[in-house]
Amino acid sequence: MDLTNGRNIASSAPARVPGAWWKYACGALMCYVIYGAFFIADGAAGFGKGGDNARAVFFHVPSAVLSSLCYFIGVVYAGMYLFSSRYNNLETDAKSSIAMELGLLFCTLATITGSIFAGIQWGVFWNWDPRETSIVIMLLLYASYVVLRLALAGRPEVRARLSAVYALVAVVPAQFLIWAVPRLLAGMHPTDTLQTSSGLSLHYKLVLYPAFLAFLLVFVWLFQLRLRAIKLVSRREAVS
Amino acid sequence: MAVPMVTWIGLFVYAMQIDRRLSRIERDEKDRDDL
Repeated sequence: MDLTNGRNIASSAPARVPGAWWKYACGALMCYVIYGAFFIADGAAGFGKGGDNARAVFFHVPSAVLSSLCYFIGVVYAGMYLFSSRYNNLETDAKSSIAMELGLLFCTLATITGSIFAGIQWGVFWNWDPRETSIVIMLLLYASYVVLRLALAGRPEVRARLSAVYALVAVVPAQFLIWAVPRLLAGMHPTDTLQTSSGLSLHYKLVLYPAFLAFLLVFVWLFQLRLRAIKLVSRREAVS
Repeated sequence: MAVPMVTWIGLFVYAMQIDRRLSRIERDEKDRDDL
């Protein structure tokens, strides 16, 4: 008896991407941001290469903000895993780990773009400025989380509990590094230098605000891809 | 502008390919469950 109704189960037809419209919008928006960073926004006074070095802000700042947001989301899911009986499952743990991994990605991007900026602005790619030092420690915090999870790969329940505890414990120094250190110690990192007397110029707003949205959409997309992949793998493992 | 633009377009196409393949696997899994 043919239960397939003649359908080929191992279909080779192109699959439709769920929610493709916002993914294509993300792609187009990021193209606009890249174009705008070079052709819409002007260079800013006080920055290297005739002010052009300020264009790094459109990639560096959203990366840094996303990194902090990812960490916050990872901590929230870690707390849900530990303290909520409803969310005490491996899916919540997976969401926490995905957020932390993406936080590592965006933190790395922020470090690289910041280093490129420093190289052009001050002629040296790394100065051990308080902001630079704090971002290195943030990278180590994220990387340690990933290493912890890799070390416990064969014990999912223990891995989930320990990595959730790590995320919650590390949130205190992480917030101190992100918010307090740059304000307590004087450094070379530009602050408010793009602001005019009436705030950020229109040309910068036209590019920077869409840049935040574009990076946020990239994060949501990558989060969704990772979660779907993890669910498929765990489903196959459960079946086998 | 060319370098970041080409890099981004390449990453975007790659991510779309991954998304399509995941969708296909998910659909195949669903069809298998339905049977």
